[in-house]
This record gives sequence, C-alpha cells and structure tokens, in this order.
Amino acid sequence: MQCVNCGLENVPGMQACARCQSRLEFGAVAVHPQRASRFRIQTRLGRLWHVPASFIRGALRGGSVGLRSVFSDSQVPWSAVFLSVVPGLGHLMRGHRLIGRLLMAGWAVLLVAAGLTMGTPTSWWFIMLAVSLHANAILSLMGAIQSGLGLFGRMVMGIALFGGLYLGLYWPVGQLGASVYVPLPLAGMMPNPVLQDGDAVLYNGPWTRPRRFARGDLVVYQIETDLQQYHAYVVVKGLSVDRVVGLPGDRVKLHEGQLLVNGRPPAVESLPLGSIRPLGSFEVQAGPDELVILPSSVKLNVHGQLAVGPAMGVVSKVPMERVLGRVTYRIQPWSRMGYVR
Amino acid sequence: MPGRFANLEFHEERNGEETTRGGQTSALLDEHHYLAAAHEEYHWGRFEKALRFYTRCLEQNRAMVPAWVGQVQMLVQLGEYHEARLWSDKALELFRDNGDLLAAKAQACVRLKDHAAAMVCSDGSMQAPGSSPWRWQARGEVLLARGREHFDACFRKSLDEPAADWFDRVVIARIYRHYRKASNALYYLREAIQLEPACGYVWFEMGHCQAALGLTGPARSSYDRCLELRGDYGEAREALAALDRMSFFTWLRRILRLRIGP
Repeated sequence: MQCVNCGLENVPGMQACARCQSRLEFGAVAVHPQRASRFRIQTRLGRLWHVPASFIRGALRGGSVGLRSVFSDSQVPWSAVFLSVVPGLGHLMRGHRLIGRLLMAGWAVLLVAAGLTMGTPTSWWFIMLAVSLHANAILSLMGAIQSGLGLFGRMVMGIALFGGLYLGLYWPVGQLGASVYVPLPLAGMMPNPVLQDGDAVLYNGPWTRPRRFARGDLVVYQIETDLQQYHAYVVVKGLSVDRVVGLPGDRVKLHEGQLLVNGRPPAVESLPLGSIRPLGSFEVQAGPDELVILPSSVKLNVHGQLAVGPAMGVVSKVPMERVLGRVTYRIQPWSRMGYVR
Repeated sequence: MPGRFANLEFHEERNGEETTRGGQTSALLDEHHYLAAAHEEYHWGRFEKALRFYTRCLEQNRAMVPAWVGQVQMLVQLGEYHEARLWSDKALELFRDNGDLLAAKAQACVRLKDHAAAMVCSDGSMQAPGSSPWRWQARGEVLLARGREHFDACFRKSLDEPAADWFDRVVIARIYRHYRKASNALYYLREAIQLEPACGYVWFEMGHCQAALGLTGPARSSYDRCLELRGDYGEAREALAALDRMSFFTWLRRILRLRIGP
C-alpha cells in the first residue's frame, strides 16, 4: 500500500504511513469544507479581530515582536495611518497630493466653522462632520484591511473608527480646551449695554481661573440660594454673568437705587450690568471668602409676596468657589465678536 | 475556448440536474475529470465552481492531494481565510508535512495576518520533499506581506520550476493585485499573454489591474478583448459595467486631473 504523500510502500493493513505518518485509509474522511456564512456575524467580527489578535499574540510571545508583526504588514501603510492624526497628511505622504490637500482643507474648514459657531448647537454638527471626514480619511488608507471584509464588516469598522476617534481624540481635546476656556451661550439676560440675550461668551476654565478678582470684573457665577426663609419663591438658580461689586470684607449698601461700597459710590466701570432699582434696599458685608455680585442681569421669576431687599442681599453674597471664571471674549454674534470688558 | 482542457468533458449543471456533454452519468466520471474541470474553472477565476469540482474529485478519491490543495486555495480566493486555515489543518492531518498543503496554509495564515505561523508553514513547505511553483509563490506572498525583500525573486524562482506555465504568472499577478501592486501584476500578466494570448481570463485580470491604476481606457479594451475570446464571460461584462458606474470621488478625481493634474 503506497503512501500518496511520500511514496513509501507500506505493509498492507497499516492505518498510517510508517515514514510520514500520513493516513493510508480515507474511508470516512469528510471532504466538504466548512463555509463562511454571509450572515454569520461571528466570522465577520473574527476578521475584524485579527489585527488586535495578532498584536496580542505577538505581545504574549515577547514585546515588540507583536508590534512588528502587525505593523510590518505592507498591506496597510501604518505610518500614513498614524500620520493621519491630521486628515490628509497620510495621503500626502503616500503621494496622493490632491486627495490629501482636499481632505486637509475640508477638515480645516469644518473645524474653523465649528470654532466660529462655538456655543451653539451648530458647532456640534460641524464637529461630527469633521470626525466623519477624519474617519473616512483613515479608512481610505486602510483599504487593504477593508478588502477582506464585507459590507457589514466595513460598516462596523467605520462606526468603530468614528467612535474611537471621537472618544479618543476629539472629546479629550474638547475637554482639554474646556479646561482653558469654556463657551457659554447666554439666555434670560435683562437688557444691558454690554451683553444681550442670545450672545455667547468665553470664560476662564479651571486651569486659567484667576485666584483673585477685582471690582468691576465681569464674571460667570453660580446662583444656588435657598430663599424659602423669606416666605417667597424666587427662581434664581443657574449660571449668571455680572460684575463684581464688592471684594471679601467689603460692605455694600443698596438704598433706593443708590449703590455704596464701603460708604462710597463705585466707579462707573464697576457698576452692575443691569438696573439695580428692582433689587430693593439692603446692606451686606462680604465674608472672607465671598464676593458681592448683584444679580442685575438675571430675569427674576418672583412668585408670591417677597421681601425683595433682604432676599437679594442673600443672593448677592457669592462664595468664591461659585465664581467660575472671568468673561473675556464674546464669540456670538459674529458682528459683535471681540473682547468684553 | 481552445485552452489546456479543451478536449476534456466538462460537467454542466442544467436546472440542478447534472449531466455531461457526452450523455454520461456523473458516476462514470473519475476524479481526474473533476480535477481537470476544477482547474479549468480556477483558470477562469470561478472559484466557487472550482471549489465544488475539487470536492467532487475528493468524493471520488480522497487521496488526491492536489484537490485538497485546490480546496484551500479556492477558500483563500473566496476570502474565507479562517475556513481555509481550518481546512488546511484538516488536510495536513491526513498528509503530514505535505509541501503544497503547507504552502496553502501559509497563504491562509498570511491573509489572516498571522505572519509568524505563515513563515513557519512556508519554511516547512520549502523543506518538504519535492518542489512546485506554488510553494515559491506562497513563499513570495509571505515575504511580500511581511514587507521583506526578495519576494519577487521567489516569484521568479517559481517560474523557473519545470511545471510552471502561463497560469502561474496569473497567480503571481493575483497575489500582487491583492497587495495593491497592480503595476507589478501587469508585468507578469504581459508575460502570461505572450505565452497564452488566446486565454480571455488573462485579459480580464489585466483589465482589473489597469482599472486599479486608473487606466480606464486600456482596462475597457482588455475587457473587450476578453469578451471577444469568450463572449459568454459574464464577469467581464460586469467589470465593463462597473467601469461606467463612476463614484463621486472617481468623477471628482477625473475632473480635477483633467483641469489641473497631469
């Protein structure tokens, strides 16, 4: 009985070749290969999984071998993919100058548009478009991996890349930016010469927040005052913008629309944004960690009978930790864009 | 088509009933007929049909190693790399350290990006007794996928084998095309056309490579030439239709190339 693999003439009755151990009898061997189903998600995900899997395998075998085994794959220009942190750079590196420039220009335009509409919902849409363009730029470089995938696989890959880019790059960068400057759309503002309802401003984030404030500083602060003890209900919760009137230790007196700080009228540039006459009459002294900020720009929603003066006195004393930052720049509307003083 | 297997009897499927041109029943056909039919379908790029014929061949004779190798190759060509790897493992259980099977497994592994296993299998195939163009081609693909040098030397070496013919050049071209090196593929396809100018499939492959390089006009000519040689080759018609279905980016690229590009 001759082995079909190595040609050795074996003794009759043997099951396997004495030399190469190949089978000599094939009676019950199945010859129909297992096929991949078009709709078998497991197979498609398995194909998606092979790149990280080969990396993990390599890492288990020994450090950089894994990286090399993945990135030495000449099908995917990994260096171009990594360079695509800026969409289009990878294409430029690969010599696709036109597509590279188009991608880069498109991405830049979208980011500029997002910046110009910052503080409005439109900005979010521009950011999403920029992420989509970014994901497409990378996907086009990874065409070799995609060619092994079906429509479902490509969709999963596209969605994963979009999500990965947003969560791994854009969201952290956005958070980083918000630590420096925060956009704030203004709503419910009383008429005043500086800011109007619908404006959007930038104020200092946690990293750039000044440690000390001066009288006249335009600040964003949080109003969270419980006025139940004054037998009335005033809706004055949330973020508001106004000028600092009194510093820690200052005594501020408001009487019939006349404001006195430590017994003297304040400078014109330190006056509150809006009208102070509706705030009634009161006199407060700021504690060591408190500022006095009159809520002149907030639309007060007054219910029931209210002793306005004493209640506003409580609202005006703002702890330092509730002052979020100094307003520096108006970003909306474009016609009045600029520094705010 | 006056090709290598023009005088053989081929299986035809009509309404699900299997008959042959001479009226023979399928039981009378032996494994060699099925193997030849499978090769013929492979040579025309009809991998699904080829896989079926390789299976029929094995149903007749399970000891036909070329049919096992062919099954794995077809699975790879159909993009079912996991299945190809599983099937090559099964075949290797039957035929230990068979060089061609190891080469087929190397190709399946390399398509799965398991380069280390692919290299081991390729090494095994080269150390196995005997030689064939296929082993060198698989070796070349492993080196090509790993970004190593000398892959083209392996392909050239495969053509120096006594058994090498025009179709080995097409196989090499297909490998190059898979790795998006259409210009390299064109080089081998031109050689294949010189050896077998009457085979429409070479023109079909050439059309694919030219289309990949953006040479729409020559690609259309190649598909037309393929259809001249075999009018019923539907794949060429589809490819021609696909050339006409321009995507937005293709259109934009063409417009910009016309206006500002070379």
